[in-house]
Amino acid sequence: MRAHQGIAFRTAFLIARDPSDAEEAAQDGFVKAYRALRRFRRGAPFRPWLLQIVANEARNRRRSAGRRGNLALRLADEARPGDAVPSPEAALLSDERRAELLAAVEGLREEERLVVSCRFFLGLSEDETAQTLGIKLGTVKSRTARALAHLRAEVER
Amino acid sequence: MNLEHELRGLPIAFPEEPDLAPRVLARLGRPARRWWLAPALVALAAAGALLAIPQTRAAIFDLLRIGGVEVQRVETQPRAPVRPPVLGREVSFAAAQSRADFALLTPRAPFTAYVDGPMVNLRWKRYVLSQWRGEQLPFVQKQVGPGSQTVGVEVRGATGLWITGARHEIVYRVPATGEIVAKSRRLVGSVLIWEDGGVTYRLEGARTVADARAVARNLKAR
Repeated sequence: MRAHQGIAFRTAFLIARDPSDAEEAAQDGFVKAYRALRRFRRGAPFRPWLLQIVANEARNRRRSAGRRGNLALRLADEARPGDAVPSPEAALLSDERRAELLAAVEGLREEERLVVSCRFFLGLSEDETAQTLGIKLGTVKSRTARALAHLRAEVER
Repeated sequence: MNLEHELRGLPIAFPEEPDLAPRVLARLGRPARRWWLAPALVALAAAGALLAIPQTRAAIFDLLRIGGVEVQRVETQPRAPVRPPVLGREVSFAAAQSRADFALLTPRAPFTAYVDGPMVNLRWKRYVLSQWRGEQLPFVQKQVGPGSQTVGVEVRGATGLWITGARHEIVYRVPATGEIVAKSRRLVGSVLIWEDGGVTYRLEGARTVADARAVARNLKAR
């Protein structure tokens, strides 16, 4: 379970945008997944199946709370000396550029923002993203392409 | 620069990840009904092959990991031969302590010390306390069969697990060889497991969770 709780919590947070809602959604997701094991198709990958349940929980909470993106994503503080070496991508990006890019992601329509979050912030594959968000693979591809075009237009102006 | 790479490189500040396991466990901590085939775990497949678990019936779900212990629900328990308790080689306390890189916890009552690989076992009265550094045993699995209960409890300020009601099997991987070994059922009955400072503790022999927690509370490093 601990192997999956990090990704489950982050998925719930990206949708619910509230830490306690995300925690509850992830917790309920685990309990429901555990009780629904009989519906789990043998041989299918477990992670997206769990994330789909968690994502549903997170969506329901967000809906009932009537909120819409009330907690904006932030960038983590700059790595301090002695911290792990940043990835080459991270090292090359200036702070300003990062902030601009994140703001552009936050400005996307929700359906595009969620696909971008799953694919690039959570590192899910296209298939996993489709299952987690309950949409078709083709929709993931088209939304990703649209989102990237919007982002490019936004940050490369 | 590729926009996708830039997005992947964004250091998103996620809130601190809560530890969901204790509460999920508490909610699930009641007798198992029926456990169906769950995701195949590599370790499990290996354990299954070794223990000749009937694969089609063995329903296993990776429930929780506490320290070096991984608890799994199984529908059918592996049929390992029941042997007398194996506690390892009897040694003096000093010899046992010299094998561990942490201060061993001991009861007030006189006890006998045994070493079994990286695990130190102390036996007194009807109790057995096993302690080992988690990394020394990459995992110990407790396979918990139907009809058992698993409850999250507080033990010495840490999160612990009280497993009661059914027989359980202990399976672990030998660090040096990667070989997966099924331990015979040592003491049948309930067990309290907790982790503290990277060391995993397992107490067997207590009849109630209150007794187990009291025994745990009174343990002291010498």
